[in-house]
Amino acid sequence: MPKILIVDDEPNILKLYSKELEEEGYEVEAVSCAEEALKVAQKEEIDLVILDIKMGEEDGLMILSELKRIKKGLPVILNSAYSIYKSNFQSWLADSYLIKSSNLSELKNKIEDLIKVRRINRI
Amino acid sequence: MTDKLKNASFLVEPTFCDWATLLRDIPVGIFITDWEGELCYNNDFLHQVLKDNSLNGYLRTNIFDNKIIKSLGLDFEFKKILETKKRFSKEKISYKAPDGSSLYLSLKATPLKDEKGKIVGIICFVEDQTEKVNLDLHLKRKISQLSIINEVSNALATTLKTERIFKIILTGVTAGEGLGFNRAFFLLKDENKNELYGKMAVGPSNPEEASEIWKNLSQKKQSLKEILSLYPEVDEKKDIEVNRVVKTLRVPLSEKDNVLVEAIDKRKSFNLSEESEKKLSSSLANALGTRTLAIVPLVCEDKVFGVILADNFITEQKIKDEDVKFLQVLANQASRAIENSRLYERVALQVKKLEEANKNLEENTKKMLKFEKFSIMGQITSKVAHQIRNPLTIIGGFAKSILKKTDEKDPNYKYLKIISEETQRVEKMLDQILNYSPNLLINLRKQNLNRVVESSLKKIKDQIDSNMIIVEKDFQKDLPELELDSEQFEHALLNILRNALSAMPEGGRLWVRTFSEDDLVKIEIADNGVGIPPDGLPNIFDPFFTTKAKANGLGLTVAQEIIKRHNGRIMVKSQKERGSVFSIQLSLRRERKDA
Repeated sequence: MPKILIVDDEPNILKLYSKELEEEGYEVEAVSCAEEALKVAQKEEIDLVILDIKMGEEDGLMILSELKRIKKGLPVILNSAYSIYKSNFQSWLADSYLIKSSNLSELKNKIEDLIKVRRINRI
Repeated sequence: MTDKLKNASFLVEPTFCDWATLLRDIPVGIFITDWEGELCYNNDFLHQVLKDNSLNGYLRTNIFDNKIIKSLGLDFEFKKILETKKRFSKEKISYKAPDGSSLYLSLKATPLKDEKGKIVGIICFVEDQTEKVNLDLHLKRKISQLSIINEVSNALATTLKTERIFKIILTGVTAGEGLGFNRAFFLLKDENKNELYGKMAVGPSNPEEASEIWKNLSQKKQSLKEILSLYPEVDEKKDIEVNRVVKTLRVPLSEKDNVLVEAIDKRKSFNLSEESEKKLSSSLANALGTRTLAIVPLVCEDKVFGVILADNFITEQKIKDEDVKFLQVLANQASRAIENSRLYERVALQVKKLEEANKNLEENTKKMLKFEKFSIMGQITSKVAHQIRNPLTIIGGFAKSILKKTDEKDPNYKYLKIISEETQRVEKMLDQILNYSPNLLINLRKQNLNRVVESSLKKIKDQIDSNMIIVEKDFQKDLPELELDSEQFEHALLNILRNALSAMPEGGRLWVRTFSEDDLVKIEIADNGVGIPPDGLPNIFDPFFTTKAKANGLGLTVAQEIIKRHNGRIMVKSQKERGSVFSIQLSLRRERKDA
């Protein structure tokens, strides 16, 4: 069962994503800050990260490169209410950039695609 | 009374010797004739007055035969005295003496009667009043000169136009008894070409014309003001020749030995004649037809504008030095008036410039305020929009999540669906607001505009049909292709078309027309809907401006932005209850601003 790490400072987003993704059959780890996210990523076997960018004072982009460094090939989806970070070169490291929406089908499709690709790459 | 007469008769009855002594010593020319006009007596002083001996009692001449009396036309008067027994007197009789001098005489003649009242002769007193008359004439002239100065000042006060000023001065120089120059010329300095050039002139071209003009003037006794106001056409006509002459006058300021240049350089006036030390250059003398003329510079404070030339071309009268002085007074007035007029022009120009600057400033301030408003509004909107995004995702996401597991027959199913759809609607609105970003690149490619318009109409076909709209298309077949980002441009057209449809909620007509004009391609989208209220018209392209409850006020802003990126323009005309016309202009020339 693929394991997804969700990083977002909004607890209700975490609840919604966890519920929806668990129903899709994923194992979900939800954290609300960057530090925790790095800890989990280091310790556990994670298949994909959904990363919020603007988290109070913290910036998701700051840990994006760190995540990519410690877990080579780990797919990360940036998920933000803002579209402007799309043009920020730091976000180019991410595998996908999705703007938050109540319609989660695009997010789910992306997750499925990326996990498929990761699996193929591992084999 | 009787005593007085007695005394008088005592006085007039001396011995002959006493008479002669008395008459001889009076400093008045006296002669006495008998009743036939034979000269009986004259005193020596008469010869002194007349500078002539022909009236001499010893010559036994008859005054009716005398050449002086005849030349003065007095023989008839003397006959009248003998017939009517009445006294005769005449003043200011112009007399040309044998030595050539011109004199003015006064003459008083009284009949001499005997005791019975019978005429026995005439006694006549002749005085030289040349000095007095000349003084009178001089005074009269001075007064008329002063009145001309006064009239010129008054006339100058009515205008700031330089042409008119020239005309007034030149007319003043030539008008009436004051200066009475025959002709006057204005020459102005051209700083750029460093030369003097003839500007304007006043005066007759020949003696016939001159006498005609002067006759008219003296008969009517017009003031300068009247001359200036009543006969502009006549003036123009009579001045044709001199104005032709004046246009030929050109003197380089480098010609230092030219007296005109000297007048300017030294700010000095000249009275030139054949005899004067300074002479007019022969080319100027040929052009003007005379060597006798007055030159005065036009000076105001430290500036010299040019010169006035004045002459007596027709009458050939000598120019007096005092006339030149007077001319200088007029020239000074002219200079002041010209300077005033130039200052006025400069001030008027400055005022105009200031007004323009002020207008620009006002416009810029308006623009700035508008931009600031947009910028602040933009910032607030962006912040709010982003902060709404999270709760919307959560609300809508959970609604959908529950909806999936709810049976369609469940009474809550449709309400959940409503929550989900409405959140999606708000999300779409946010997308539109937040994607309204100026950094979008446009992808230009040669396109057939008709196809793009057609495609956008197709996209809203459902809405057109359901709103019961009749579409009338008028596409120019050979419309030149132009560079477009078809996707973006279609988006702009859709926004305008949707705006038109929403103006016709109860059906109507939509006209879509494409055509080319010079190097422009134009699209017109017209509806016969509700129209835009006039106070809203200037704001129609502003973000978040809307008259409709259900719109977000961005459609037309986005449309305008896209058209601008295509280096085009969009304009709107509207009439309440009649409809609106949106006109889009695109240039065929490739000079778009790089977005």
